[in-house]
Amino acid sequence: MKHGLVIHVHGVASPEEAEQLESLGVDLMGVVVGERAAGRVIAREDAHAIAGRLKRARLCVELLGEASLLEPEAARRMGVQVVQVPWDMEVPQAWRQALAQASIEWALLRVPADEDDDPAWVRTRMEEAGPPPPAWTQVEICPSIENGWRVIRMPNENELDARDLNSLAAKFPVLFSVSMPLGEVQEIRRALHHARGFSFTLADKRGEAPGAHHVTLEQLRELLKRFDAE
Amino acid sequence: MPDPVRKFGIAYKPEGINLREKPSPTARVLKHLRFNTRVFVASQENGWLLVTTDDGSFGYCVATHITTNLPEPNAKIHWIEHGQSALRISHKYYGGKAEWGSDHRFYVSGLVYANQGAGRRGIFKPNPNEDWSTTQVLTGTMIWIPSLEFLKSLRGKIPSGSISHAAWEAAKTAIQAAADFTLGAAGFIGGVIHGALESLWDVLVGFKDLAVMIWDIVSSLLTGNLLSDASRLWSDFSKLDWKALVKGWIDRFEAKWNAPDLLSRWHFRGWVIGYAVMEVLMLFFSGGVVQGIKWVGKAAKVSKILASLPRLQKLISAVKTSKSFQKVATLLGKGAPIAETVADAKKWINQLLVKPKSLWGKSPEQIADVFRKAGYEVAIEQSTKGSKLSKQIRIKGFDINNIQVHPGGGRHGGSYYKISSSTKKKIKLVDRATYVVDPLENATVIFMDTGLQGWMLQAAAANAAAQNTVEELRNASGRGGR
Repeated sequence: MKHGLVIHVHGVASPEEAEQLESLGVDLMGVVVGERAAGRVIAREDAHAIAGRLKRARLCVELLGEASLLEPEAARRMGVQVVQVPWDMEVPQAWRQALAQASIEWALLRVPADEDDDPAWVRTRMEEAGPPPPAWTQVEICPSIENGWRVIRMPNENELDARDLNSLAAKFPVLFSVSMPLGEVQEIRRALHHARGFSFTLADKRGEAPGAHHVTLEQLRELLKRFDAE
Repeated sequence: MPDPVRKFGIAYKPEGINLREKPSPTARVLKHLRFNTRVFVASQENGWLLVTTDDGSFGYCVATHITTNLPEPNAKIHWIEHGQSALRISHKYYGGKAEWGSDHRFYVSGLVYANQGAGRRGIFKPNPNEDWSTTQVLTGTMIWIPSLEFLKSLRGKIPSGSISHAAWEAAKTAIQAAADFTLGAAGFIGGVIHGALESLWDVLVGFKDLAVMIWDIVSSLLTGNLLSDASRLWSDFSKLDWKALVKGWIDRFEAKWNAPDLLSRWHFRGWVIGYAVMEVLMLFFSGGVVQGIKWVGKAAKVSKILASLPRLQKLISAVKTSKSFQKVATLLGKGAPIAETVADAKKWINQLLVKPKSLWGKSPEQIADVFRKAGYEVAIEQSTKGSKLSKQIRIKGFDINNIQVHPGGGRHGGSYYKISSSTKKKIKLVDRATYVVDPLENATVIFMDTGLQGWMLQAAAANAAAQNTVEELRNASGRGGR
């Protein structure tokens, strides 16, 4: 069972995929919207179509391109409930307040947990914008290392480790994106038991969504089954 | 490379000569050396001599202003004036102290003997078999005046009164063998400097800037009082069991330490001490990291003992509080601006992803400044876990959004810069000598072969210092001390 865990999937590219994923228990349906639809980047109309198919899950959109802060009115028209922004993007307070007034949340994407030895670096990313804060933050665990869990799982007094991340998750709503072999699902869930949830980024023949730890739909299905089995 | 000379020399220009800070006619004059000042000539290069004086000064002199062929260690120079005879010269230098009569015959003979040889024709006998009273002098020429003590000691060895080469050399050897620190001081100081520089050179290959910096600081501190420092150092250090301390480091140590030749002996003693002292100073300057990275010190055993001596700790404190050290530390800590103009700053940051090597050695402040100059909002964040000297430079509104500077000691062992951008994979600039590569790392890793430079070096040193390397050294010396 998920035990209240939130599952976020990024790069959903069609209403059909969205329906499948919702049936698998996905809570946050992340889409990437660009001016030119290609691969897992979709058009605004596609995002609107996905929103129309969702029964329970919430539509979360990341806007690519120069004007990458989605205006509240445009988000409302698309049926967006969460606007996702990469960690290194400016998020002016006026924009965040306007979103809040429209009852739309915002979230931070792809905060790299291994950018520094110090977990404070990640915390600062979540706090620096000021109120209203992100509804949640997708924290990528060791995005620059394949199978970063191998590194981060080991307790380390001097460097960032799983305990640091778990402590961080106890204080902030964090969705972890981590390279997650099936055999390590249980260990990862236990080590990061304070996590609000986990985030998965899609990549297959159709295309690749922005992010570090990619999975195919098939792999995701297996992973979510494993989540349910525990 | 300078050629070693290691001989006594005399400033023979009647008006005196300048001792300069560097081998250049425009370099600062440290001191005016009066006529007849004796120096120890350590080495020569491009017409300049590196010399030390009996009073502890050191610097550079024009080679043609110093003559080095002293007939005996305490000899002086005399310029013959119009109307002076050999006997008057003898009276001038030995008269008040010598007895009349046969003494002056001997002293004039001594003057003639000391001034034999190529180019020495200021005082001579036209016919060697003639009486001493036939001795001639040439006005306006330079002659050597052996010391009265030397001639007296020589006279005791030649009852016949006839000076021979063997007798002269025997007297020189006797004086040199008995010479104490006073006579060997200049050679000793020359050796200290030589050993210190050699130690710097051995350890700091690849760390040229640091070597020059340390030498500048140490030499500026020592100028003017090296003799008293050296004398006290010798007083402290001569009590140590050097034979045991240098075992495995120096071949034929005893033969060199007690060499019959005055200058060889004192120069070698100075060299050993200078070498070891500089190792200790480098430990201080680098927090041990230089040796840790490059090399295990040759004089490690000696250095441990020396580090615990109050005299050297005092010197280290003097270095630490000196204005020059503060100045250099500031310069190293911040560094010169990367770009002077806004246009240059923009050009530099725009090329950074193409030329990431330009980051190497730059401090977080330097990097932040260049981005600010180019018009971006920048913040520097410092780590509080792990290597606390790791810093993050967060840049808003630019493709490069974060640059981490890591002085080393973390998961990867070595020092590195990490550039994160929105459009490119992470780029890591790493020190090839120390960085441990993770084969599963996704970043583009660029290896630097030049060793640590600028801020990285200082940060790495400070990092090591924070790990109490020096403290460990002191503890070790406490255990291993006599």
